[in-house]
Amino acid sequence: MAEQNNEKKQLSRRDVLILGGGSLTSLLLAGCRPEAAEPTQAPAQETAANEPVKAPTAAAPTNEAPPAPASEVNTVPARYVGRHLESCSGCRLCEQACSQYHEGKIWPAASRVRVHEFYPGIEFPVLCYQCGNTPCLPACPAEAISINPETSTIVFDETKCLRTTEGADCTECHDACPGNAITFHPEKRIPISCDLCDGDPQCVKACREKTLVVNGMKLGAASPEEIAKTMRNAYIVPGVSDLQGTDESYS
Amino acid sequence: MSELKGYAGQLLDVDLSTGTINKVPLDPQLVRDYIGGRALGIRLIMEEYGDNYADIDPLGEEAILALMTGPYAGFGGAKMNAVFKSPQNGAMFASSVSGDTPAALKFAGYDGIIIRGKAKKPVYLYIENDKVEIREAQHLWGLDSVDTHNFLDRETPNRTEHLYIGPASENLVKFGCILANWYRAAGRGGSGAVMGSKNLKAISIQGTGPAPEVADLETLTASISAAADAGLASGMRNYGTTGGVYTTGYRSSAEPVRNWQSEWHNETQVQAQFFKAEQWIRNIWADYGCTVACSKLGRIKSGQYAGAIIELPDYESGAYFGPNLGVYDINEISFLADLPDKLGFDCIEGGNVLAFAAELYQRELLTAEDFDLGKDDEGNPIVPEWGNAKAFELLAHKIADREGIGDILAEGVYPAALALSEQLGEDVTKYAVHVKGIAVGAHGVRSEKDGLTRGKEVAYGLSAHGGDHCSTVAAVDNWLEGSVVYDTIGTCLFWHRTLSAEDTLTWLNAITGFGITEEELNGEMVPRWVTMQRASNLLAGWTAADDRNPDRFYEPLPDGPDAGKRLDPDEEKAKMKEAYAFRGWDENGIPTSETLKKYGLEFLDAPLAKLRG
Repeated sequence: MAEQNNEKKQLSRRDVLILGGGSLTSLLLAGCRPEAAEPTQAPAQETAANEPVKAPTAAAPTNEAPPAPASEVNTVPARYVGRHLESCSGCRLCEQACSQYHEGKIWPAASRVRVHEFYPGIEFPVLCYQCGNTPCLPACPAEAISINPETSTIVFDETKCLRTTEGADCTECHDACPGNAITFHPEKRIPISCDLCDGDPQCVKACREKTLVVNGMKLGAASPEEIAKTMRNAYIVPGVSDLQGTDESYS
Repeated sequence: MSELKGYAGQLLDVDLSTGTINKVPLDPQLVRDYIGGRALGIRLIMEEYGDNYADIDPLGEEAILALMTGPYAGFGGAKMNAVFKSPQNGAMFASSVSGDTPAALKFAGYDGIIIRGKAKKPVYLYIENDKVEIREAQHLWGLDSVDTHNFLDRETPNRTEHLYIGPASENLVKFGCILANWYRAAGRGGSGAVMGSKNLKAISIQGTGPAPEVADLETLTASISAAADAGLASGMRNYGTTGGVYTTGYRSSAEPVRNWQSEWHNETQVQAQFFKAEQWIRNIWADYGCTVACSKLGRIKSGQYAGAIIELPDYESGAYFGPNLGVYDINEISFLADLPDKLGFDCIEGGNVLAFAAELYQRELLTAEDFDLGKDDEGNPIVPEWGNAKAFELLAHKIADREGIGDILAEGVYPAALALSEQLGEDVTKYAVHVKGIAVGAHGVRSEKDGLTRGKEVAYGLSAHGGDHCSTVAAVDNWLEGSVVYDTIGTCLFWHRTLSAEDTLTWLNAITGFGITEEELNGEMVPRWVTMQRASNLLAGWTAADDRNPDRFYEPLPDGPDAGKRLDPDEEKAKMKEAYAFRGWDENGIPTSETLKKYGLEFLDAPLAKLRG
């Protein structure tokens, strides 16, 4: 049963990639097509099929992502990686996939997507929001950042970056990004950021929780700390800041 | 660099007495024979203890604590093992703990950490790749384990992973445990007490390096991907193990009820969906690389514990702090089951010893004054009657603080029973439900319906971890001991249950290139590891007479569909002899010289020869 479902899911995703084609027309039409609607329903079917004994009660709260609306169906090329933060389990398979694609080995610290965990049970991925404003670009004192015209993602010129040319500890681009989504390679020291894997984001393929979705839920950029606090307040999970001068945050 | 694939190739060796920090290369042949985690850790420590094994004080300065990852760490595995001579029963113990810590340790460049000696005052170990520091931890001493994690997070870089102890282990409660990721624990055997005895509050690991080179990255990637898909289909994903709090009692008659006086109940309100509906605020919470995501975070919304943040409860803690204490209110179960995580002791030994004490109260062997739990709002003394959650909460704190009767119970159920027998002038050890000094897991064998304890006569008796249900043996002619393989390679039983043995080996071989076959694993490697642990039990003073079930399991089940079922001690003895013969142990359960030679354990021949007499 499970194998069939997994098989189905993979096929569905592939179908959609073929279907997309990238034109505006197909994007608009996608929602109308029955073939395109199928993958958005797949999660619900899968969950039901996997728990034959214990069907969830209607009243039970769920943290699973709601099926994405038809307008969010995956298409090629990817313009951004959308995030349904509430469904992230913190498994970090995205970090593994990203680093394997970009570094040729499993190397979470060098991944372009990083999963943060500031509070118990609250984990979420952070990667470039593809915000369009690119405040990182003018912030670079060395003009080392440009836009890749094909993917519209930012590109770093290692030969200009002060971290390589002068061995400086410059963090201007990271600081200018409202989402702090630019990180630094742990070995090469250069800034790194999501390049959408040339249009086929590997993190999305690796994500089993449907947290990362190509062109999915577009989020406004916020710092990881802000996201964590918002989620913490939403789920009423106490955290580090409650501990200032006291240790009575629990029970 | 190491010739080993998938391993960092070195251990971090820290002596807290002298402050010496060394990096020690792994011997490739030893790694091939013992793989990592449980088996390799035990081998390294036992070899070092050698002929002095029996004289080593598990909480003494000379004791060694090994924190060992397996090859899976960083490659999808989320488990590592605390390996130590148990302060509870003197045998070698390996207790696994999950989280992001094993991967972090490998990314920092180590396959494990060896801790020796004793710091003069509270310290914690900070590891940032090559940089290793012993830092002061006076400000963390006394904090509960959840707050310890939060404070460590504040003073270390983002995505630093921690292993730490709670107040129980600081006070050397014998079954104190090492914790990680707020709610994960190396629960069994007293790992935390060993850490506490060394004045080591925590180990924080920031690993930013790449995973080591593997033998076959393509196959490994495929294995990880297939396992991720399989994990989604696991029954654990929706409800964790919480479902067992009802089903193991009602369906299997294998759950501890009032200190194992029964194993059956039909309290329908403790079903998993009610915990989910009432309490859970985060339904999917995973460790590194895992898609089973059996952990759930909850918040209690009503009752005397409203507002408390809790995790799950999982089956073991839910059973031991629920039905075993006569508590059937789900909010009270969740609160009590979460206490061991906060105080930092083993939920199984803890729930077991609490119920043991409550049974002595039930039998009027101990009184309200003996417990001294204060008075309730109406001025009546609070007493550990079955179902009185408040009393058990207070008593758990007394254990963690080693205060009053808690000081006796903090020794663990068997030593406590011995001490109280002397004090009361009556043998109460028959109420202590343990095997070789270790409280049994929440899995009874009398009904024969529990999956973990199929070989009922020998299941616990042959376990090298005594009452540990994760090391029970399935049959007389079977070497495989619970999760010994998963503990050794460094991954999780729940996840691998969704995979075939072949899948697991393909994965392991893709990492290491060892080319291990099922035949070699089950015919040679597992026997080697189990025989080695057997030797540690014998050297600790346990004998064939201790290869048995708890006294209570020879009593008939009093109620439920399996009422009347019991174990027959004579049949058990006969089966045990068969099992000894199958394993190449003599009639006293001591591995013969030939057996030791067959499995490459010659270093144990001299110490065991003394026991053979």
